[in-house]
Amino acid sequence: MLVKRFLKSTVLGLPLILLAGTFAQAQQPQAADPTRNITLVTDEMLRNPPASDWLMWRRTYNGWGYSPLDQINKNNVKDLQVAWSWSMTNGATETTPIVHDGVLYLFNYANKVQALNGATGELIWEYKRDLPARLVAGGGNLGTRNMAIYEDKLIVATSDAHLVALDTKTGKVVWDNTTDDWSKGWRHTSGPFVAGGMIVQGMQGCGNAQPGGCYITGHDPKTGAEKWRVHTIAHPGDPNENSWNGLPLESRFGATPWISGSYDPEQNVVFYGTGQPYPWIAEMRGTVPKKEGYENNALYSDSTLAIEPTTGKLKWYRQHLQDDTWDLDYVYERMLIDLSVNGEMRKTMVTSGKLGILEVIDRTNGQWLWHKEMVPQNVVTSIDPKSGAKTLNAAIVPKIGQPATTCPANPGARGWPATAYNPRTGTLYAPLNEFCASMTPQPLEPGQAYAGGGRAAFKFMAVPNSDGNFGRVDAIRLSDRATVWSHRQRAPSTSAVLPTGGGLVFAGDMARYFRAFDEETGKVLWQVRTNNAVNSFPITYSVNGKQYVAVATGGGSGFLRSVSQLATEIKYPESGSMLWVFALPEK
Amino acid sequence: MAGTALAQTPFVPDDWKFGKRQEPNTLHYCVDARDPDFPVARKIGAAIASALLLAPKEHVIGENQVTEDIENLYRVFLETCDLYLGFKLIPDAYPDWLTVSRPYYRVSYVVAVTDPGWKSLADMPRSQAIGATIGTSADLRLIQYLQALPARERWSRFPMADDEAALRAVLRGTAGAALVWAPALWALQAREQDFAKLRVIAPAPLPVSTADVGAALLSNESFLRSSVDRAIASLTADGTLEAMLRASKFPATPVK
Repeated sequence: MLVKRFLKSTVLGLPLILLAGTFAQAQQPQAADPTRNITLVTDEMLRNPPASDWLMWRRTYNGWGYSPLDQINKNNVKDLQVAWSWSMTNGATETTPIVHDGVLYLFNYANKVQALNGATGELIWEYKRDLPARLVAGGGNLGTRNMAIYEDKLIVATSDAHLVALDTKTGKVVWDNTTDDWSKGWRHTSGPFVAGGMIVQGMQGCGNAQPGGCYITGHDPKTGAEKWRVHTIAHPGDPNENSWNGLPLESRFGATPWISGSYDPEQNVVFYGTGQPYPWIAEMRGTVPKKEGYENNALYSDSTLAIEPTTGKLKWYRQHLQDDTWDLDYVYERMLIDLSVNGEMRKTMVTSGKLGILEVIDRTNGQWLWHKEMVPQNVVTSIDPKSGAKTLNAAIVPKIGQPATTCPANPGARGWPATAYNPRTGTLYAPLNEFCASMTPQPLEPGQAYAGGGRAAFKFMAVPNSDGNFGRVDAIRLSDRATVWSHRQRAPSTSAVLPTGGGLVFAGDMARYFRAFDEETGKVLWQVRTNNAVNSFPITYSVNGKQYVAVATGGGSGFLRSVSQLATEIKYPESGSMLWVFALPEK
Repeated sequence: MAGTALAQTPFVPDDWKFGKRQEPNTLHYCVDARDPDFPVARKIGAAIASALLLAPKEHVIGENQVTEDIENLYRVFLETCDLYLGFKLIPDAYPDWLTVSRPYYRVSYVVAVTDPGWKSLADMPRSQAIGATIGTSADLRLIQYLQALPARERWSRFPMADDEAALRAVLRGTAGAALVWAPALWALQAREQDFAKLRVIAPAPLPVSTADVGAALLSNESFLRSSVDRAIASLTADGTLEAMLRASKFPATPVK
């Protein structure tokens, strides 16, 4: 142990003068290094993860974000206390830790990855990516929401558009592959997952006026080499090439797959969502007015793509919002749930976009099943119950020189913080926000290089007849589509939710609170005020039979900065990112 | 600057916020290597510093990144320069923490074609498309103009990622005309022989679109702002800017 720590310090390039301190620290009693006994993560393990582990973004392939761990439960959660904490690199902290065999892997802002002892918080190894100076100086989101673990590799997607495999025991780089050119704006803000023996990764940064839009790729886990690519914008030769109102490929932008996907092993299909076309305003991007002989729904923006991960074959797609002109992505988590629909068990996929409409479709073919509106919205006036076709509100289409008030505003009735599903209660738990915005199209070119994207000016406001509350956590029972409870509060909801086998639902907000709700009633059973906004994906895991709940805090994300304009009296620090880990006291 | 709150400033780590260079006799100005007016902006930056009786310190930005979000400017101002040349005076286009000086020149958006027979855009057949740099002020006017026409009388409009893409679309024949920022055509024609095939025609029936260009700076730098405005006014009045633009054959005029 001593020797290993000495070597690590040297490898990390610490000045020799620090070694004395390192040596002294090593005299203290240390927990055993759990990487010594770490096991390979197999395909079978990914299909059926041990309850003690959190092996992927939403823990399981079905995207539920649910853990069966029940040591922390309704009866004892009041005693929950800090087990350990860890300061993280300051910056947007939208991260989801991965836990395997007692090792907690953490992605920090600016692409620092750490392996920590999940029981004690002791640092085991650290990888710090040497990002290009210009990229760092530019700022922006240098975080990533999730990572993948497979066999003996931790696979991370970086801000400078690389996929990197790190040795789970040592943090050493096993392979490092460029996915695209960061200098053109390509980057990763969400990470990969491994499905059917293939790394699946979405490309981000394509709203930066990159002709031809974004793509999803499949990579060989042994080498990182790209094996297939699915374009999220219809290219020439694609059956839906005609959906861009006659625009050439070089004039088609957007459809970013900026959130990771789900996987159905039975079908061998991954499900990925895509964002809106760019720029946001349809008039600007040329998809209106509709030209004779062309479609203008801008495929495959705001869609679910069902892709066979072995080959990259697009099996089917479903577009949730056609020719989006409000920046209302449909990119978030896809939950795979078998549900009774009209008396018949259906293999469904449940998702919602920024609009906050819960949409349930058949995951074998994309067929529409049903929907439920979760928040006030004025964008969709009706949905055909058979086809799912949406009639859009023409009165609120923003036009050049003509602002429009839309509900929800473009950060969304729900943002990237994920909803979750508890199979024991058959209930979905959703972090929601109620608000509207006046949207005014703006020229894109204040400076020659400071251009692109989908710019419009927004002024956020409360929904009509608001009670002053913006944030909500809702529990929706899927069998009868009933809202079982709704926790309403002033502070916007800013974290994903975590239901557990202990009858609890954990969630956090902009006011720095991290709470445990009773899964059945929504009653707050426990809360703690952390150092900063809770703006990440909480997880739970166990080590040697002891359950822990972990959540990262920290400001800086675009989503948080947007919703912070709603309740300006609620302050959170500009700096200070941290991983909080909670557990019950020792008896 | 340190410790001063600016509404909705972008995230930066604390160590970027505290402490600032103390060089009262130097004007640190940024020029952008990606901007087509780069060589002219360098001269204007030096002239502004000189008018303020300050030592000029030029910083070249953006040598290896194609485009950036405007929020990235916040870090540039905290770390590098007091003034960043080359920003258009567009109402409501800037966040509260950013402002733009008095303009030092005015530029037109131009229509560029290869067809030798067209004198104005009106001569271009309706079957041809206009490749327009996406979302510029001129592009927005084009969109509004086209939508006012009956469908059969419209040209197709192809939004393009940037001026170069729009001009290349004309060279390739994807579009019949490009609606671009005049300095972009000026710079590309100086850089590549291919672009010499392009010529500017009258925009009619579109109106001439222009934009005024100044230097960006942090909103709370009010003393600097007023000083720079006075310097630009002086350089405009004494003919320095006009002579500078003429010497470079740069397609712009001072704003009097």
